[in-house]
Amino acid sequence: MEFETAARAILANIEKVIDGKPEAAEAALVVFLAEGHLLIEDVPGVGKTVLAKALGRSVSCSVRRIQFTPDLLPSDITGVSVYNQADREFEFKPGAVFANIVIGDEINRASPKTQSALLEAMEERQVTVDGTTYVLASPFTVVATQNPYEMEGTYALPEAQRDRFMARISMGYPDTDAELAMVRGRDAENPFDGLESVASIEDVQSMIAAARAIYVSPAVEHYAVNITQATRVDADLRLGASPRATLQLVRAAKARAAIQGRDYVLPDDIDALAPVVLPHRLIPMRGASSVEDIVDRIIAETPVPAGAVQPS
Amino acid sequence: MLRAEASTQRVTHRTARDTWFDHLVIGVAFALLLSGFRSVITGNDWWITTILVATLTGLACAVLRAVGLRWVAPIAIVVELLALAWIFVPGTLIGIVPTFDTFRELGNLASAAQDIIIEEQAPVAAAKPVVLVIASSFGLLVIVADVLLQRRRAASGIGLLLLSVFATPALISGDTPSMWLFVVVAALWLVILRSRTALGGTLARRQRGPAVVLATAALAASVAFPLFSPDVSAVATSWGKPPPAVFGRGINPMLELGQNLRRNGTTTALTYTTGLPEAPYLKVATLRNFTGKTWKPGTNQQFAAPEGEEAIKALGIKVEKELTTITIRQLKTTMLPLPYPMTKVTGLKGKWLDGFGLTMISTDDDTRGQKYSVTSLDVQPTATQMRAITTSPADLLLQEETKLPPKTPAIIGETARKVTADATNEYDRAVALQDYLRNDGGFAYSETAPVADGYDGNGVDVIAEFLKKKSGYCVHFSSAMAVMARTLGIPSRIAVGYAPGSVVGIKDGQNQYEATSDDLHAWTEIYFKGIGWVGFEPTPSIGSATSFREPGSSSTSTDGGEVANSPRGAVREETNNVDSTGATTSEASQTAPRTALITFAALLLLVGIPALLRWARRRWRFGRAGSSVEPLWRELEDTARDFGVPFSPTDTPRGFATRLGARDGIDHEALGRLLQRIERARFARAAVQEGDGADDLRAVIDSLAAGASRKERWRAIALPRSLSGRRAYVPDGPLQPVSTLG
Repeated sequence: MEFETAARAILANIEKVIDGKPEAAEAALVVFLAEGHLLIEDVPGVGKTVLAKALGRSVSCSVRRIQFTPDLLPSDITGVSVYNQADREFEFKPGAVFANIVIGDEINRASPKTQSALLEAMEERQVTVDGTTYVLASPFTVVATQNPYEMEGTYALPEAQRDRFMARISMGYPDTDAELAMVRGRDAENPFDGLESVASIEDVQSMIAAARAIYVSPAVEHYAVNITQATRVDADLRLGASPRATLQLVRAAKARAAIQGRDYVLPDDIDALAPVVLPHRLIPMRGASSVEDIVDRIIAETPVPAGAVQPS
Repeated sequence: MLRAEASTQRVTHRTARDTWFDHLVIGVAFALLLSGFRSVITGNDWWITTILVATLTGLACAVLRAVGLRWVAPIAIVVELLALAWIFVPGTLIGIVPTFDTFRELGNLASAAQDIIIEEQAPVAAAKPVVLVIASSFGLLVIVADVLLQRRRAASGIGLLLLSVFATPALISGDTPSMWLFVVVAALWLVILRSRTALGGTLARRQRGPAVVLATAALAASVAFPLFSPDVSAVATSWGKPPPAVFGRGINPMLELGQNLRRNGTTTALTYTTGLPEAPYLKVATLRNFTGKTWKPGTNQQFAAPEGEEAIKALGIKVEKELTTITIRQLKTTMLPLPYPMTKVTGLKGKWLDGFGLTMISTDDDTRGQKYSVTSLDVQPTATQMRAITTSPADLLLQEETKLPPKTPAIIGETARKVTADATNEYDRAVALQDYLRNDGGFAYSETAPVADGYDGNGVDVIAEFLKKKSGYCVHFSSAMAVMARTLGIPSRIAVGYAPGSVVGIKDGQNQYEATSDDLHAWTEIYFKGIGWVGFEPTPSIGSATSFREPGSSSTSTDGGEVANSPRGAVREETNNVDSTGATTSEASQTAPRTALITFAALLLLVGIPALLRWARRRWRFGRAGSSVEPLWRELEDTARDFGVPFSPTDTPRGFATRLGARDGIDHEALGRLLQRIERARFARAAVQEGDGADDLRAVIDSLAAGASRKERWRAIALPRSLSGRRAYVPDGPLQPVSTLG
């Protein structure tokens, strides 16, 4: 299946259940195809979980959901070896992480130990239980959600952990029309009922491979590097973006270019993705404006390389 | 992090150095331009003083900028003031603190400078007040340049500043500074222009070609312009009202005489009635000291005094006293116009010094509004009496009046000896010289020919040139005759003043004469022992020649006792008067339309230069469209800027196209194709596409122009914004792929 057609079909499918949020849907798909992980930070009830579920259904992937609570154990995530009386040997019972799309609801409610079990799995794409290493499914994406307002009894993700998420988005409230449409449609039937998969796992795997092969010109590479470097010297920022951020920014840009039917990345892709890829990694100075505003300013101030650039 | 810090430091460092560099270039340009002021001020000391003040001020600016202080300009002005006080009125300072006296003294100097500027003609001596003015002006210029340099688009302002400094001496003295000065300063400006317009990185190599071509063409055009344009001095003096001061305190009345004669407007200088049989020449200044370059007033006044009435009578020569009443109209000078030789002046307001019959000078008043009566002698010798007078060098105290400069061209002496070969006495020699210049030599009167041929003035070389070219005006004729007389050992000097004007009416039973600025004149005076100085008129078509009554000729001769003794008491003949003014106006009318036409054409060219440069750039880019789409995209960016759609180096092509697409009537399809072309060229792996996109660009430009208002279209053509300002950003050095990171 052609990349662009498939991507459009997936997006259209997601939009059937998420009304009026095409940017969030696109960001989710970009992260999914770029093999990253997504952090959705928003108040409850705006469709965080629905988004993740719709994505999973659309590509006929396995989806598992973990509700993070303070008493959740790391083994609940990774799995546990259980002694089988019949076979007289230990048998591995896979945890919730063994799925293509893992939804971690309210990830900040779990203890740091449990959080880091998930985060390690995210980075390594494998889990080791009792000395045996189990490779996770491919594709593998964690969609974690956080409620930014109800902070009591939570364990905020440390910076190092947040860095592992490729992008952070917030859904935001739907506008009046979208909410009206939702009220009418959702009341009658379960929206997931009519949602059929539009791409197979194999399709998705080939799409991921195709996105990796998208061409990034030296000019765009420089542009991305200039932006992340600018965050490191910006007077309003205490902590700038890591080299991993640069890498993920370019990777995400590749996926976005592919979704839009291009085989090359534009500076516009960087411009569009930097506001979701960078802010959650940055720490502003006390009293400075919000990191989103700072990133927007840096994008607006960084010159775009033009002309006379030869691939080196 | 380390890398990021290093690169940031590099950028700041380069910005700082660039400002220093620009400051340095402007400093050099100012120092060079200062040399153009040599035609305004004589001497060398003022040059050093001015450089000192300007350097101190500039250093203050530079240090303040380096420290990062605000209020640089006001502080720099204070520093300049202190520097001026320290140099010019050091006694009034307490330590380095200026006192009330400091400001009063500086104020006094400034007002003294104002007087000098009003009264004297360039070049003025490097008097303290004048140096103060020029040094403080250049100090201020440095501050203005420093402020301009802080602006991103400073280049045009700096250019204007340099041009005005370049033009100033030309407008004051009429001496156009050397073309090479212009070329060098223009080249320095181009250096600033280049360092100012390159943003961040250097210009891409592709952009360098047209920039160099355009710059060279502009430079060539500006060099060629002065060659074809009218002389600056002609333009400068013909514009506006003539300045009120005609004769200054005698720095160089000879040169200003020529300028005053070439002036277009005529003003009435004075009117007078006289009891003399013929209207007298009115002398303002006497110039005795010939330096070889110019005539100056003498130093030894006493021995230049006229002979007394009694001494002349003792020779048996008829002398009468007559009264002339003079009313000054529009003439401002500190020297009084008087008939010669005068014995008494009455009716003057203010304090006037009698310069031993040479001049009346006032130190605290001028001629405006004066009305006075002058008693003067009318000496009437016969030709025989004149021939009998010989002046031996031994009984002369008139060394100044016989001195010749060491390098007098041979032609002057040869011509003088040839012309006077038949004469046996001084009187005949003087008359022969006068007749040669006036009638026999084939000389023509022209106020403009010497200027056009480059020998205006009155130095020895000019006189030699004048004797060859045989065309000039009173300055040339009178100084030629005076110098020729001196080569024969006859004492001579030059008188400057008014030729007898024309009769304008009758008052108190006497003819009333009017002398205008066109009657400004110079004539030659020759010394005859016992009689004193006798005026001769070597200039054709003005007055009439001096010759005295021959014995035995009929007393019923038309001219009576004297045959139109012109400089002493001659009437300017009507016919001649018409001739001379006729010549002047016809020459003026010939040059005036030409000047106007050339000026108009030059203005048109000047106004058209932006459009021309813009057109050339567009053409050049379209010409390169076949090999690359980059020039087309730059052209699109520039055209958009011309129409007021801003472009910023932080724009992506798509972002820019979106902004441009919001304009009325844009051809979106063509714009989209062009956008895809540039995006593919810049960011895709292989940029192979059919066609070159030039048609799409034309379509977009046409639709942009069609959607714009008429005012916007004119503005885009006549004053294209894209000619100034920034270019697209191209990073320095070779680009490395990102994949080497992280």
